[in-house]
Amino acid sequence: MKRPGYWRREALDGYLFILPWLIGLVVFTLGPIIASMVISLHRWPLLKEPSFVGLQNYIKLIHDPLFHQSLKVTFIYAFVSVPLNLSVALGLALLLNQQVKGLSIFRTVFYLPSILPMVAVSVVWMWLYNPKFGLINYLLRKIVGLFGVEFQGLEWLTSPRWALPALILMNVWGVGGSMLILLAGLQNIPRTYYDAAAVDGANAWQKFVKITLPMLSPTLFFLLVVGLIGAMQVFTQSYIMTGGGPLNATLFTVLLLYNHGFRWFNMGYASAIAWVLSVIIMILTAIMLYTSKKWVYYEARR
Amino acid sequence: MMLIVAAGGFFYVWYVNHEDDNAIVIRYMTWDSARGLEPERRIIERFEQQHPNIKISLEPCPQGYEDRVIVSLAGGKPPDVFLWWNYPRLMELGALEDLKPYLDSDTTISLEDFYPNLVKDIIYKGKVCGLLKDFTPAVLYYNKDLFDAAGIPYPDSDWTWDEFRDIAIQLTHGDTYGFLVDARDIYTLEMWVWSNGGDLMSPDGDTATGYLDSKATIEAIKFYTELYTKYRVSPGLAERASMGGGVNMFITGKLAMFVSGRWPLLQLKRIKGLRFGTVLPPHPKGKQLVTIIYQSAQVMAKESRHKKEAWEFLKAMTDTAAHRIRGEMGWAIPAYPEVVKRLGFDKDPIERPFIQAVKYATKKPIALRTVRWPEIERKIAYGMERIMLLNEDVEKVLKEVAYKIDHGLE
Repeated sequence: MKRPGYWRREALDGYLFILPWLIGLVVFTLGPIIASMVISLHRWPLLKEPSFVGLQNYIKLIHDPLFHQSLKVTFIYAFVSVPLNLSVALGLALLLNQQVKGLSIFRTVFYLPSILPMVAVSVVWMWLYNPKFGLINYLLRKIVGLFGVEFQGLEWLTSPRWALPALILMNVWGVGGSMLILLAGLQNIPRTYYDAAAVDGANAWQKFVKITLPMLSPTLFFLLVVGLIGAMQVFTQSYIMTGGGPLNATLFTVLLLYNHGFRWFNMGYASAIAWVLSVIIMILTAIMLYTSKKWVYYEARR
Repeated sequence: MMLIVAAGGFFYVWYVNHEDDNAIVIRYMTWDSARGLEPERRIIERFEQQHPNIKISLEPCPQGYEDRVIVSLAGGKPPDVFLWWNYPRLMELGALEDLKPYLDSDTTISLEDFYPNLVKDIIYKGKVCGLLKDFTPAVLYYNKDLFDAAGIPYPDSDWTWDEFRDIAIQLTHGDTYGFLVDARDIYTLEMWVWSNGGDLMSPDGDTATGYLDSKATIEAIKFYTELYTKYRVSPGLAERASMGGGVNMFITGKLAMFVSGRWPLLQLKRIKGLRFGTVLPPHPKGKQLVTIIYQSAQVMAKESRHKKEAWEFLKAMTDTAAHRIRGEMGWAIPAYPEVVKRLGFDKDPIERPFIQAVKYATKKPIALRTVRWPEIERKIAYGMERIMLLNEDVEKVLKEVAYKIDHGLE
């Protein structure tokens, strides 16, 4: 039986309930997105009236060596840091899944760093990376010293060669979030699969490759997509720790965007960078979604 | 719900009227914090007592100061008066009030009473951007104990680059360094270049070719960077970072000399057992020393709605009485020769070089010549990193950087 009046009322109530969120979306997300699109077509030195320049900002971007450098740095960061983080998170999750004693303590300990604000983490790591008194170089010296070799340690944040690896390594510290999600994923895999495999004589490695990985693939996929999107937008570490240097070795795209917008007053150009970066992220995500059909296994879809 | 909104509305209307009836509020934003705010508070108190109809809303913002000011300017709600230092940018963007007409029609304050070398820095294209709040020239700090241990007499204010380099070499041994080369500080680098008769940019700040790549500039930058790349009298970036920066190295006796403004002075004075002196920086043989000054001024926003009151406040923050308060509290050198004399700054052995340095600050820093400073600074700093970290040829790098600056290339 149809009661159009009731349904309309029902729909109206529904919209009323989501209204606060809807207003938030329009005012704080959708509005700025559209605005930045419009701004990217203008030359806008922030305190003066914007003037329309068409696609000039985008054309300039194509030939901008600083932008190229920033893309290179960002891509290296994303493509090394995301797989590295996922592997470490998976390793930790597997370890924690072994019914260890004090699981909740370990879980808390490993998760803790990921709730700390990035600024605080950056400051702490600046000390850890201190070439002379930092804990990391101290350990390196001790380890290399075992082989009887004199070693000064690395100039982590102050050499163009090691600054980016330093930021990538530091990011591993914050894998707690991914680890927790993977751990939940692991605990969702029915024990019966492993029992059946054991009966058939499968060894640990076979179980891992044939059961754990496929069953975990949706979780891994989710983390991969989210991780890559996050990594492409990395900013805080280099803003706090290196300022993009030395020799632009840690000039992430978002840092360049920030510099253009707020340091050098090129709001239009900064918006263009934001849009190019978004398109790149969208393409990457689309590629992953497309290829996911080949390796992500959903139980429901047989 | 409606009631609350209505009540809020009435309250707002009442508040706005109330505000107009009684006192005009002047918003003042500053990057000063903690101890630096003490003299400011006293000056403001004094002002409010003399002007019962004006209330000052003090807005200290030590973190992210420039961003805050820019955003508030762009949003059309800037503070009426605020502290600033690189005026051309904001002046060109039409954000600052030109104070010249005010000065012309007000006889209670005159630019002629300030040090002339300071006044030239707050004038941009004939406009007066602000009134001086404080300033400091860069001088050379030296650790007396390290000089004594090496048996080297303390430098006097007339010494040459060669003498300076020899001393730096003698003071360098083990993990103790003679001098700190801060190649990424382009503002201070200007001092070395000017003293050799060179410049980084043309006087109007528009052209780099013929200045940044001139013989005198190349020679100066070579001298300065070779202190690190060739003579190794300076710690590298890593070592400096690991020792907690130049000032900390100086305090712990790992660094014998460094060039800086007055900022570390109060901290250094408080450290027991640290014997140090200050002296004018060296100059090339047969050439005239040119020093550099860092200054900041209180400026008025063009969008201020109470310009008359803002001007009164601006004057109170920068007149001789205000400078005297800051000077008495040891916070800054007064910008008036008269107050300097009265407080005896020119008699104090540590303060004297700062006062002496003012008269050699004959050149205008590039940051105050042109709006393009952030871009110029970044490009030259990148070039300096190439020289310092990659050991590239000074002349080749500077020629390239000059070309890039003049052609707007990265």
